[in-house]
Amino acid sequence: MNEEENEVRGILAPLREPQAGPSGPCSADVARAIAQGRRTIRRRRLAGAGGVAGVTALAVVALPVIAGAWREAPAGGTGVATPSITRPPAVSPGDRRPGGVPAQCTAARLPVPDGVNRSIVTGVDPTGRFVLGRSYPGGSSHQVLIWDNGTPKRIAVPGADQALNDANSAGVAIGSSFQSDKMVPWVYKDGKVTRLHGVQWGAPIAIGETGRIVGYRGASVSVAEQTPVVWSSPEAEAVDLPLPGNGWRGSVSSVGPDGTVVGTVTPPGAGAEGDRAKGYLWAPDGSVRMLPVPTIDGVPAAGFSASVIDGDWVVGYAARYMPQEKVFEHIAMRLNLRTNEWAPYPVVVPYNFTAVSINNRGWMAGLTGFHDHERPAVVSDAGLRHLPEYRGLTKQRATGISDDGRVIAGQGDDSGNRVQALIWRCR
Amino acid sequence: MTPEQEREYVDYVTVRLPALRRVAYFLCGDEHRADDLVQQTMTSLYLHWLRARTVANLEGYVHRILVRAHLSERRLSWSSRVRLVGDTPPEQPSAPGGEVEERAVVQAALARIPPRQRAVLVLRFLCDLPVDEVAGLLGCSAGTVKSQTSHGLAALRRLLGETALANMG
Repeated sequence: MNEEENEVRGILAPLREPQAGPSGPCSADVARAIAQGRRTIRRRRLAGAGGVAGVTALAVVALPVIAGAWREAPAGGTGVATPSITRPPAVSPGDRRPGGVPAQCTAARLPVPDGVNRSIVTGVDPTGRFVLGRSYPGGSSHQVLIWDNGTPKRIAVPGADQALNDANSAGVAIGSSFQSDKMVPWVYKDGKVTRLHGVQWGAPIAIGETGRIVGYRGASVSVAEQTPVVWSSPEAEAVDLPLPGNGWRGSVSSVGPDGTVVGTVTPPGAGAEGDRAKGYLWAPDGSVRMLPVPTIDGVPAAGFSASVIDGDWVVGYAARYMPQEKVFEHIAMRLNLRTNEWAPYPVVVPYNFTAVSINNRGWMAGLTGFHDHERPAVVSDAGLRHLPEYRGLTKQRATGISDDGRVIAGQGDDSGNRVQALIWRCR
Repeated sequence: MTPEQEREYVDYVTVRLPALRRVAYFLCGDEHRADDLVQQTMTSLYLHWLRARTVANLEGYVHRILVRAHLSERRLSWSSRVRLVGDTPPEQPSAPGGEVEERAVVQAALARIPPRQRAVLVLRFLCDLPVDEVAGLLGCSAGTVKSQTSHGLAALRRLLGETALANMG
């Protein structure tokens, strides 16, 4: 044990005390883990026997980590939830933009400069021309990359643990890194990386076609300390987004074509997992709008969290409490902002699909399966489709998808457990 | 799984739950997300219990599930875009002085350093995992784990130094 290690041990010693750590009541529960585990095992058998019927259903979304990766479809004969909508939606996204992800896809590795043998994808622009990612030359500093039509370009983002999160179709990208122990927001535009102004600790989350950027400022990784902000352009100062009232918390997730920001707000005292969450719109003219909460099977959902806005549509997920399992189940929904009506996904989504990202049509990129059996997959109006796996890589997953569904990016592990960026091109 | 095996699982998880929760909390800095990580880890362990109960280093196996879940969360953009917020107010150091404050200050400093450095420090010095195992968990070399430790220590020193200065002023 060297001196340095002793010093770290000394500094962290107070955290080894039994009193250290979370102080609130623990919401994790052994009985629930067993119930979830049993249900998953049962459903694996069911799925193996072809037990899912092809009826119209809501997409039940297994949200990784925050929502729990093993929240599958509710128990029941068909393994799917039945939507309950007071009136059929006048227009569904499926009507407006027919079709789904193209069927013919080919997998390829994304080339990485300098012979670096680890890389991941962190985002895709709406057109699929720009894929964001990074490689791992070693140490805490990463090489941020933008693949322009498949050709990698090195982007010098200062700091450690750098990543780009989103880009618009002009190739303006946003991201963050840690610098002098602070999380610092960056924008990449016209070949230059510059700091976003007005935030000491924070990160941008999404950028729209008009160049409007949303993100958060805070003081640490704790979400309880974060406040949503907007930068009206890459050069603008950050401005706090107004929240519905005292003690409310908010987060932002997407910027629409006209600059309208969508996010999620929760009242004081609300729990995690989308309980009592409400979708919220911040229009460019400063007006705000609280979104309704859907009714599922005749019962109002516990909350609705908004993920993406595109024109008249907001895509997100409703939280429904399952009293027997004591879990919240999350159900993907689309809201028509003009009519205030809800549209379910017109497809059956298997219980073991985990959504990682979502495009403006509500199509989801992700994976099916657990651990060593993960397979890359997308869910669109055409249903669930597995993507062809790249030879020799395991644990492949899709993490980004263009708006037309023709470019899907992600990663998989090679035989040395090194993560490798992948791209699927579909036609 | 036989009832006997399920009892073994319950016994093991019940004993380990508080420690797992602490590790999850230091990794992600948020109580609700920590509980979600622990819940996910326990479910995953249940699904793999028949194999897990026979491994030589069960604690390491469980830590691996937890850390993988934590790190993959950072790569998953839909979930990170849809940040759910909890009901716990920001953790402020309470009345000055005493162990409580010291813990809060160290905890706050740890939450402010880059995620990979934080993961290295938590795994090495709070979970007592050897360098090689941490390297395996994080998918990097032993040399990187050591350099991340140095960077993490430097960050902690700076942050705790700033706090000390602020308290003096």
